[in-house]
Amino acid sequence: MTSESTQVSRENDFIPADEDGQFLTFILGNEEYGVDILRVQEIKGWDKATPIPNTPDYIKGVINLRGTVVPIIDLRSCFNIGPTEYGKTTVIVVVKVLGAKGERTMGFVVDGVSDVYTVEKSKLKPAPDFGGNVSSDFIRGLVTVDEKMVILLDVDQLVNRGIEQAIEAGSVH
Amino acid sequence: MIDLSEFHDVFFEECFEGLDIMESGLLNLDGNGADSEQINDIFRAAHSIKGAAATFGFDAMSGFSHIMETLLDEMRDGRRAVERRGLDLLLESVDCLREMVNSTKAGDTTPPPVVADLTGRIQQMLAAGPGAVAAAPAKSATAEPEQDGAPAEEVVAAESAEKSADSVAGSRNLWRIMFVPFEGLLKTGNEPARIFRELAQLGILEVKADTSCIPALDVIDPEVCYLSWNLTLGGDMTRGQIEDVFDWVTGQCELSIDLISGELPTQKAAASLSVVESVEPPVAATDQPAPAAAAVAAPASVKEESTVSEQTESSKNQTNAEPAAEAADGRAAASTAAAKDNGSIRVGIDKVDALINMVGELVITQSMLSQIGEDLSRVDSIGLERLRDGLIQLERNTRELQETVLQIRMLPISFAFNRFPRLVRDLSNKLGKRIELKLTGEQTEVDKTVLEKLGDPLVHLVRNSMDHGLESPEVRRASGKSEVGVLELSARHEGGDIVIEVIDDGAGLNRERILQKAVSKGLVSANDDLSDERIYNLIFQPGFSTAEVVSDVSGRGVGMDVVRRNIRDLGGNVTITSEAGQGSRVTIRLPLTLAILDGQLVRVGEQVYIILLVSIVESIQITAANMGQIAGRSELYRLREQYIPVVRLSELFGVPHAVTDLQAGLLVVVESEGRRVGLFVDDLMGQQQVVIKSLETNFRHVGGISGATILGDGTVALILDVAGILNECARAQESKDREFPRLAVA
Amino acid sequence: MTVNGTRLELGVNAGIEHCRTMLEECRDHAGTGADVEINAADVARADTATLQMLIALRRDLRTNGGTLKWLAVSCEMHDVAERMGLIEALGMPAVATPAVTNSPAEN
Repeated sequence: MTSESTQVSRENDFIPADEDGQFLTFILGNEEYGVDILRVQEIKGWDKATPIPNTPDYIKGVINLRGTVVPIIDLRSCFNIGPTEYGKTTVIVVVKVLGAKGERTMGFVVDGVSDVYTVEKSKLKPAPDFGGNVSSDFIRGLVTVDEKMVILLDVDQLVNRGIEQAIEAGSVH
Repeated sequence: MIDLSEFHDVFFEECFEGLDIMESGLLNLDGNGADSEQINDIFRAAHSIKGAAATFGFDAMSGFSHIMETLLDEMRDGRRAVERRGLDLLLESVDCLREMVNSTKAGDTTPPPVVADLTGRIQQMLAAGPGAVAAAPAKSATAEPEQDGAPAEEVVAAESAEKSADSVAGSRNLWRIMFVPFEGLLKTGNEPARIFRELAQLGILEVKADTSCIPALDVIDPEVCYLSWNLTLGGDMTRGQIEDVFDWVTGQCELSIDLISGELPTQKAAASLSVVESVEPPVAATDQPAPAAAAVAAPASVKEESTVSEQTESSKNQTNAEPAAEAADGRAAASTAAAKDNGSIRVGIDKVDALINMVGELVITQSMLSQIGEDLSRVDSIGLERLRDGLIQLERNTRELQETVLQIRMLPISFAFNRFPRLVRDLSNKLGKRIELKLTGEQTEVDKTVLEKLGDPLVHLVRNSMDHGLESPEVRRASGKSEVGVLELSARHEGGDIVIEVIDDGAGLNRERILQKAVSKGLVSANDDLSDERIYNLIFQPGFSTAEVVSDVSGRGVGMDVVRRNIRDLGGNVTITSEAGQGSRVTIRLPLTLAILDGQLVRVGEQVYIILLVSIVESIQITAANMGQIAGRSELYRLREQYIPVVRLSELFGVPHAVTDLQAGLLVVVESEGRRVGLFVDDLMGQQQVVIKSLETNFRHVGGISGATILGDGTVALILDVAGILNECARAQESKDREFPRLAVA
Repeated sequence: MTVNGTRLELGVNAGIEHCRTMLEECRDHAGTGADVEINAADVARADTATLQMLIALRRDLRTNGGTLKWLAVSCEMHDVAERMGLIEALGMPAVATPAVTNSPAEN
């Protein structure tokens, strides 16, 4: 039924981009991405989601998270990174998203979770808009960790602008 | 310093309640004549607001309530007649005060301009004289009050004899009040001295303090309350009045109020008592004119004087004390029985919701266990037998708990109906029509959320009836009807639903005009054979209004479609029937509970969906002979006399691996607002109680889906929105119909 | 409130806002068993907090062989005490004595 999940404790919300912060990084395909640790509510093993009709493919559906219905987004599919295969390391990163209507809980399916890094604001570089998989609107910046490039995502922008708009555009109702 | 701002919310709530009491009281007085108990209730409400506002430093509010209170005081004492002008002025003042509360709540304490105007008018009325005072009874005409004082007091005395003769039972009420503050009472800005001062204004108060809990000086915390009291209060007050005085400290003390009997405390000499009076049969009173006079001289306020003088007057003037005393005891006993038991507490709605959520989770767990029990039952074993019995018991307990908890959120629909007497009164005046409002089934209970959301739709329907339905007195007379139109609001439980109706005996709907309008808007075609029913319900379509002149009362027909949408959002439906010349009836049907309903599980492909049982008419196997198609497009099924559209859920929802052969699956016939459709599914699975979870909280609204629920195995199942699916269907159908001829559709 | 020998002078406002200060001063007399005179002629505001504290003071003094004497008590304070049924517990005179007298009402 429900897989193991680790809860990450969280005190406040959002760190402004110009301060030092901690990020949880995860893998999608060959790339490493990160999200603000303060937004991460927990990490859950991948479980089948109930599909929602008439939604884009990358919306896998909804799952039951201790009584709350939470939508699951497959980021790999969302960023068009290539075919999604769910393996042993596949997990769901459950995040809090802030939007116009308040706070929402959502889950991102990722290939695997890496680590938590502290990022000094001075080290954060802006993302050039070279038309990569992810629109630069959703990127807070790039940072190099252990010689790897990590793309730090802006969860709110990603959900509220990117995904919502795509649903809006493709929606029949 | 103590910060009182956290208590503002409770204060505002109680202000609104008090204002409602005042308003309904004033409306009741209008036309029903003076009722001293009623006036007193209104007075007390104003008094409470005044006092509380003063505590919080809302001086404008306090000042305005004070002047209202003054006018009401004259009325309740009989110094001023209760007539329309005064009532109208007070009603206007209630509105003004409500406005003040609202703006104070929003942070703006500047009094609205109308305050000055109303204050002036009230002062004018006060200065102009009492108007026709209620007749002083012959009985006490010879009574000469002993005290000196303004003429007003003589009138008071004369009046009081009549009142006390009527309310001699009331004047014999003796209450014992046990007041044990909790430790923190003082810290919240409450002060027992103030409370006792107010109590003393109600009648004769005797105070006994218990100081035994005061600790030693070296450990005492002065902000903690260590005192408790035993009080006796005698006079013609009601339990409600006493409770009002303790309003601010509910939840911060132990309070018990008991009606003892019809005796009042005998005179004591001890100085530790506040005000003492003996009102035994005339013998005792006339023997002690001195203390009576002294008691009269001592208190500062006119109110206390009049209370005391009432007592002395009543005892002096009783020529028939004995039978009166007996009657008093009898009536005191009756009033105990009749006394409203106000054993209630305030609970934050979030606590109730949390409780309901927990019960919902419990329901899920219980159904999960039941499922396991079912599976295991195939293995024979005594232990399992007992497990099963235990589970059956659990189901019963859970169901009971659930019903009880849901009951907590239920409130009588009178809360929604209460605004209408005023509304109808004002609006009928404005329209120049004579309209009588009838309310039935006000005690019918409804979920709190439903109640709140029902308000606006009802207002619109009522205004509609009054504006467009009910005719002017002349027109009514001409058609042989009584000049007074009747508007009825009724509520009742029916099956698992609550049915609310707005009925008027007006002109009814104009079938031809509606049809014309609908045709001109392209909603129906001129050739359609539509039942009257269908035609009348067209008025719920958006943009529909047949009013030639859009009155500002009910506006354009925009209202009706919003009404229907609001009702639909509550999971209900609204329909209208009418008879030309006789009137109209709007029927709103709502489910009793919103949170937990019964659902039917259906399988489509590998997915499980839920259809709420209330929507299901029947489930059948399809016989090929009854299938029809229109021009190769929409599929129809003939069900007895009707043709209903068939919706393949697998197609609607894009579900792979579903059954496509119509004869291999099942058709679930569902209904919403009189329309039916058949949902084609692979199979029926069990039924279970469904705890509705919102899809929109974390995601968004999805067409055709009304929510989600958690199944016994922990996975999420989507709940179908029958009305939504029907709309989809209807839209698709109607656009196809324009191109092709069609069969009679239900 | 000031301490003047064994006299307690209550100020105009003897309500809960000032109770902690008053408590300190009362405690100065705790356990002494002294005969304390209390002058409450100026008090315009008094409430439960103050009164219960004074009851505690009186008890403490008497336990240790002393007394609490009311030199004067304002009408307002007397009124509050009377309304709350605390006259006896405080040892207050039966009627308010707004002027300080040389022969205080004994209790």
